[in-house]
Amino acid sequence: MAEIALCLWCGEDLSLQVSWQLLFGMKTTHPCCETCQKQLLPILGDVCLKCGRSLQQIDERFVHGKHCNDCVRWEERGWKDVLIQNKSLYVYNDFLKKILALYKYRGDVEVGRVFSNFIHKEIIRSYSFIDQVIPMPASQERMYERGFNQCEVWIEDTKYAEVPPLKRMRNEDKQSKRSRERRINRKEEMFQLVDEANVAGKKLLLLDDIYTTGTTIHHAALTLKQGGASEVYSLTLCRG
Amino acid sequence: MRFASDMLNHHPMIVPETLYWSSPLPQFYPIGHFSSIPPLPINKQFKPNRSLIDFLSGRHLLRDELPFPLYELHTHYVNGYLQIEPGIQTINGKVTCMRCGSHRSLPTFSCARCQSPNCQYCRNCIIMGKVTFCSPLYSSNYKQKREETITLQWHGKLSEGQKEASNAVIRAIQTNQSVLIWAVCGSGKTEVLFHGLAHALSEHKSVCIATPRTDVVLELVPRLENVFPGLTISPLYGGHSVPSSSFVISTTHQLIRYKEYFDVMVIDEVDAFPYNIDSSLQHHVEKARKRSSSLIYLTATPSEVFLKQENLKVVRIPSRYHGSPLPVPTFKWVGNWRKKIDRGKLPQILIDWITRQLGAEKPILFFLPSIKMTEKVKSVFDSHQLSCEFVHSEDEDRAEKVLQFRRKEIPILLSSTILERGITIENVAVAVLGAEDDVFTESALVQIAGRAGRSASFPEGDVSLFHYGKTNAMIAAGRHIRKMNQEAKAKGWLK
Repeated sequence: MAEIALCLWCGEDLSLQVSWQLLFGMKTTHPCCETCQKQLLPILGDVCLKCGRSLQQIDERFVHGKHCNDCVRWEERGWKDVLIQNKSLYVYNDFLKKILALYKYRGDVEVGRVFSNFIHKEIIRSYSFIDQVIPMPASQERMYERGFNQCEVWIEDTKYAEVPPLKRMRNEDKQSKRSRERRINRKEEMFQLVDEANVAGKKLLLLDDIYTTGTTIHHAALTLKQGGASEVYSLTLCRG
Repeated sequence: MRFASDMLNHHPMIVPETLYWSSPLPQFYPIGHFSSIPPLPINKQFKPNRSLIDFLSGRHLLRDELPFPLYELHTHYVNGYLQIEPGIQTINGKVTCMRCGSHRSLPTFSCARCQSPNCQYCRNCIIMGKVTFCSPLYSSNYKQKREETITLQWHGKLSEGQKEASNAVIRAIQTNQSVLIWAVCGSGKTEVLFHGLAHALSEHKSVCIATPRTDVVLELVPRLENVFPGLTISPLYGGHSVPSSSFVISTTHQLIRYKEYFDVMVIDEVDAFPYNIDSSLQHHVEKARKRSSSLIYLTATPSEVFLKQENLKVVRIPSRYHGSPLPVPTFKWVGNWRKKIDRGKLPQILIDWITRQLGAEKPILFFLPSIKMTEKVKSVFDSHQLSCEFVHSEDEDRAEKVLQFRRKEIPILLSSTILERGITIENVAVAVLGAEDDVFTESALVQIAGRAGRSASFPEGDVSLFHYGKTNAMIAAGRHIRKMNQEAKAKGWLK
């Protein structure tokens, strides 16, 4: 019996899709159906030069030149030279929220692997100068609970898969359950370098699923900078 | 999880990594590494935890589904009160999920729980929790005796057809055999089960009634509680998956959390699934019931594939409980109705039919081929001052709208095929617009026609199929219904 190809996200039978590529005999290799693909919205147009969020979608009052209000505030609080720049690929809409829930909470790794290709391409296109890609580490407890690291999956089997120099400290409450105030003004240390870490003088790219307030990424970048990293960038799948 | 192999009184056993104290530590492996984990003999000196045994008895559960500490699970395993097996095993050369039986989609991933870069998980049943190569599945066939005796408190009368089927059900339960009850819509198939279930309960047999739909679970529970006072029934459906008794009414999904447990298995609306050698439903059913148990299928529209099974005993109930014949659908050609709808118009013959039904104060249940079409037709009806509502599978207010329709607050209810089964509205007139569409298979049309004339006070009902070209499915549905009526008449079961 021939294997039936189903959309990895919604389970629809892909052979039912009649596309122009098919009519011209070009094979489509996308593992998802068109309906799903259409709901994935790339971040386009003017973005904040620091955090990569779309400037068109926020109120004018919160835009300062080419930067958003949040990034101005990060700088005012003394985080100016910690993270050089964040880039996010997609808008965090209800659809992507649902897909990420299937991936992270239900643990359906194949659902998240769909993004590997996009992320890998983006690293090659925009970050060829980077010395090491660092998937955002999870604490030991979280790793056991989820069974895998969602960002490591995106660079598995590529040359970027290396032992990460960073580890995450004991499980705090989930970030998403904290108030904004508590998330940004946290006192305790979120990350540490592993003993054998060697980041001195390196240009590093942090990889995470989502940039919301930027707290996780800034703290990870700080630990890396303190360890001697020369430049830290970040790439996330989506911008909350 | 990882385990190490060890010995206990000359019996091989496995011990979870986190419970290992001895030094030096042995080699640990994901549980899937152990090809066979034989159960250990029962230790009569050991006092098992009753609530653990109650929780696990007959079940097939993942570690995360068991609210007991790991050492307690391990002691019960060591003393022979529970069994452990790997969630994923190679069966007949195929990597297979032991919980759902699928071998279709078991991708690898780098697993933090067993540290293997090539752990595997099952995508087929992941909605019910993740089964991996390193997850143990726990089960227990140790059954505690039930004390209470439950008797049937029902004094209704079975029709001739029901009586015959009821006897077949009792026989199947007594002899652990299979039977298909092919009962026309509105024949009263639930009542057919009563005497058989009473018999099963008198012998303290474990019973499962499985249905594809949660609505049916919720509807059946009070009906059975009513006729079996004192019986604890466990409804199981998404979000409500822990049973409290051995009498279970479950959605078919939830069956995967059972193993070799039920003495009596009833499968309602068996035609709602693709049923063949490969199907997961068959696996779920076979895994959940005991090797020696009875299997009772209920349906109004069995598929041909299903009927072709060897050694399947079939009992037909061709007549409704009230003894009036099934309404036979009439076909009404309406030309290119889609084009008319696009222009905001309705075929005249359809308007006439609707006016007639509304004049006779009949509620109208109106089926359409797609969700999109229900929305389109609603706006056309609105512009014709025909007051209506629509429901479909993704509609959150579905239950409320159906209730309003039942209370006659909504005169016309437009529906995708979602309401083709199980809905009973007194004195309803039924229409299909676009009956030629592929979604309206023979069985769908038989079910739709089966909505009409169900009540004894209004046993006749109008079923009209408005179409743009007769299909084989339409003709077959008409033939199916007429054949049932002839059979009922020949048996002398029609009034």
